[in-house]
Amino acid sequence: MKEPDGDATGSRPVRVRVTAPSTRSASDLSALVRAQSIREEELDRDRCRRLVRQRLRLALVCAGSFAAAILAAATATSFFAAAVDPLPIHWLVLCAVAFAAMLGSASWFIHASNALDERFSRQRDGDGP
Amino acid sequence: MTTQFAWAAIGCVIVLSTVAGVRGLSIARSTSDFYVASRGVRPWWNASAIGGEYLAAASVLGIAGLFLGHVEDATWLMIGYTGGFLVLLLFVAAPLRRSNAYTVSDFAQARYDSFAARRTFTVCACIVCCLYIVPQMHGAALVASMVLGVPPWAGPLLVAAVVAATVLSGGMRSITLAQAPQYWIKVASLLIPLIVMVTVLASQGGNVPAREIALQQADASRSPYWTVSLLVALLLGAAGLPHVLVRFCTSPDGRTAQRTASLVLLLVGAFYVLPIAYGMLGRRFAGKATSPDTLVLVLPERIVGGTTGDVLTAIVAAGAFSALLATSSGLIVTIAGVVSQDVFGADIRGFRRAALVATAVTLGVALVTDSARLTDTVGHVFAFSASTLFPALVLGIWSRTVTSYGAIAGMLTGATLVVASAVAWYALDRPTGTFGDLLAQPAGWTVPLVVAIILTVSRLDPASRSRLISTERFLQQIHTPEELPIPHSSGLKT
Repeated sequence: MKEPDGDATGSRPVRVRVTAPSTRSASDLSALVRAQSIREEELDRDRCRRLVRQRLRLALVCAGSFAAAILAAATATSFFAAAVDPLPIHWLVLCAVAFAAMLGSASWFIHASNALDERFSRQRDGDGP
Repeated sequence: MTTQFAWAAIGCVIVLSTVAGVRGLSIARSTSDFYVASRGVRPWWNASAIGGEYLAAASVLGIAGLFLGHVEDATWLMIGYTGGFLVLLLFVAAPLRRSNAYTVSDFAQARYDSFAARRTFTVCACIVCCLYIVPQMHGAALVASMVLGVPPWAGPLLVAAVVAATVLSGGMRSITLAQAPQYWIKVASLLIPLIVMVTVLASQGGNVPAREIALQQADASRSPYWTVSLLVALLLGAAGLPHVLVRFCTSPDGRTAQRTASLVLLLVGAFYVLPIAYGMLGRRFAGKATSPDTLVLVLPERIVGGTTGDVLTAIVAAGAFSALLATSSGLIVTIAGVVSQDVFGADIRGFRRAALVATAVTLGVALVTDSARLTDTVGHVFAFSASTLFPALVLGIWSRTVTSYGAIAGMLTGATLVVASAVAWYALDRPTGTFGDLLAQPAGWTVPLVVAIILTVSRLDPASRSRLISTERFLQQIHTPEELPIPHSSGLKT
């Protein structure tokens, strides 16, 4: 029977010693991987928590700005109450200010929220601080 | 003559809705189509559909009528109805969509990991939808008796028949196709008569005699509590309405849901220019005997008159009927969605059975109850939603420590207090003064109380610590942008 790994000159193939890694080093490697995974998990969790906090703060600031605008407009229009027959015009002014404040708050929130998402993505990809 | 034109105009709306339903039937095949239109509805279409669904009879018929003596109420109602979408955008839209829930009950189960919380959400959602749909049916009775020349009961029956046909055929897929055009029908139906009326007035050089100044009473000033409480109810209640929330589950992703909410803000705000214009005209030309809820319907005949006036009245009636259909169909889909999963089985057959039962029950309730003023009735629905669904939903989205017991305790308290207040207010014949304000506008004191109860009970609940990790994973899922892989996703699958 021919030696399967032999060459034409009939020399013996180079013996390669194959040994299983020791149990101790395998467990070390596993622990290392596990520890790294846990660290990444914690890092992810911290980033997510930070994202949630930042988004909540942003939402509260936008809502507060809207409320402040409404309050200011309501107070101002109550001082300058005027009627153009047949409608008290100050209520229309209040409506217009409120609508503008809503749209302004909404666009601010969407813009800032997208920026938060992008920063979060960059951090997750390791490109950012 | 008005009757024939009105039948023709309303017939067109019915045909359009039915065609959309049939079209939906040819597209809708999966359960996901029936519940959330397979989450493929783009922002403009979805925003139009939400506008069609949200701007109900109270907005189309009721708001303009308030200008006859309650301009302050009308102003705050418009600000609150519109501003609710800002609250929804800021606190709810994207996280709700990212939870992959089909209904608010699904969200409750995924977040609180509790069937009891799910059932509580289901019951509250059904109450909100039923309370909301009954005034729509009353509005249908009003339109039917005023412009169609049929008995009042025929209006709700007609609405129920069309809604059942649309919803049964293709669920959310069908009504999305119907509701988006219905928003634009509503806008056109108020805008076209308005342009004609203004043109007629301008051509006569302002020489049209005012009937009598239509103010039914001087513009009464409201207490600061009343105003704040009304705004709390509207802003938070709108963000907790289940039929509006479920529409955000049809968006492809969280970012699209945010964009949809901002577009709705624009569309709803733009729509309210029309009731303001009608209100201004109404204060001058409507006549003292005009009922606030019928102002929009009678104004074209009063100002233009003749055949043109009849045609314009018919167009306005079609718009009002379109509002009734759009809102009712959205509400029926929402009830069917939450009920079918818990009672009839979460498949197409169960959905259809639930829709049929929901339509029959709400029709029955509408036929045996009297119509209060539209804006009053809807106001209590917003207070209920703000005191039950909204706090449990928002605290569930933003707080890690809120537990199912806390949410349930808060919702039950809120529901009990708001219902008791509304019943007492009607039973005592609408009392005035501070006590009357507390009963008429309960949200100002019920919402803070409910939030306090949810937080306190959750803090005392021993499960709050043991479930912290799973809750945190869920919150990670709903707050993380979609394009990223979620490392430890535990929420629902699409």
